[in-house]
Amino acid sequence: MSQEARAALAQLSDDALQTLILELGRYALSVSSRLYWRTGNATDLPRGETVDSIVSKALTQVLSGERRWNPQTAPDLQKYLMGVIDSLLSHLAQHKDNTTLRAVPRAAAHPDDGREVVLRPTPGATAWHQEPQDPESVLLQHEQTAYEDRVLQHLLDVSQDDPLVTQIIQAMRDGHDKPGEVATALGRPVSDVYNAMKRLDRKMMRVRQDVQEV
Amino acid sequence: MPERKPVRESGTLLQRISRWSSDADWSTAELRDALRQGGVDPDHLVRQVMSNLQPLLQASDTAPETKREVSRPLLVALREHTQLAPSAIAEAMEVPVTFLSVLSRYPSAVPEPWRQEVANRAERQFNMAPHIVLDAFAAPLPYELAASRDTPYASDTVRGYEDLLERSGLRPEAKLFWQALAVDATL
Repeated sequence: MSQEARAALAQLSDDALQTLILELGRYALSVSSRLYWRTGNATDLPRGETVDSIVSKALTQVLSGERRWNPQTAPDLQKYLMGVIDSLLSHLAQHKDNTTLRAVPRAAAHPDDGREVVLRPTPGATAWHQEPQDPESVLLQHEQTAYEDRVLQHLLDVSQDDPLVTQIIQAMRDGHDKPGEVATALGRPVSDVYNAMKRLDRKMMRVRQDVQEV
Repeated sequence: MPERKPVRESGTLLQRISRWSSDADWSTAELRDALRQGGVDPDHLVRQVMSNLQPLLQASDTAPETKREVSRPLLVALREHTQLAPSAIAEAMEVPVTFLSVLSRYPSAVPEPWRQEVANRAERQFNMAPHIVLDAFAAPLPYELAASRDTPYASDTVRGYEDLLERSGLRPEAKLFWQALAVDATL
């Protein structure tokens, strides 16, 4: 049992705890919406998981100490829980149960067949990603990348009546990697950027169903 | 002014949208609307999560501090978590069983980058919390029993990661990979 996490949650009022759960649920839904799911559904996930169960799992893993929250290094418990949700959903998306196709093993016939074999780690990169990947992992990665491209394009299509959103995405593409930077680049208050992010996030949930059906 | 690097990957942009939107100020009504719009019943979400949390939250304040999970040798921790045979664990982690055994046996000789790499692989393959693996390397020595033996090892020593590599059973190219990890950390 993590006494730190328990103490932090125990001091929340019922309303605050409910709000935290809703925040985490919305975040899990947002992350889930940008991931490719074999089920075609961002709420009913592979292996019987749901948005509800992912939020429950994140909280119980932190409370039980299975995921150890250190308030000294990560003072914001909500942010830490969001990181746990990222990890749980990412793991689920990469699971073999999430692939729609079965790879037929074959000899690598082309240098661009999606495999990478690099034996020396590159500074700044995670060495794990440089190991040879099995064919199903490569397929999953391709499915995910193609899905993300379609979601982004669809987001731009449905945002044509929202020029600020289009400008923000362009600014992000140009390499502005903080909301404040984007706001400065566009000459808008940062609150406008955050509000646009909320609109974008909700649009992402709306478009995902259409996109995955393509 | 630092040069900006254009972002070409759609996934990176979508990830930032999720992150930045989570930093925005959402009212409870907006949160509920967004959940409903995404097909999640907010009341059901709160009820279900609360019912799972209550037993953990209601643990008595006077209850003794739950003892911290005792650190176990790496291979024991992996077996307990996965319920798999060492050979299956090793295959999933793309290393020989021998390699996991020597890491279990000489945790203090394992360089930090190796610890992180093993923890990353265990998390990715088995959804295993990294601290369980990292704790295994911090377990006190000497173990009386090896990870998967019934009898004690004969006492011997290793001088460093080179000795671990020597006993690892890794293929030559894999040895280069692990060696590079250790060497890069010392640069």
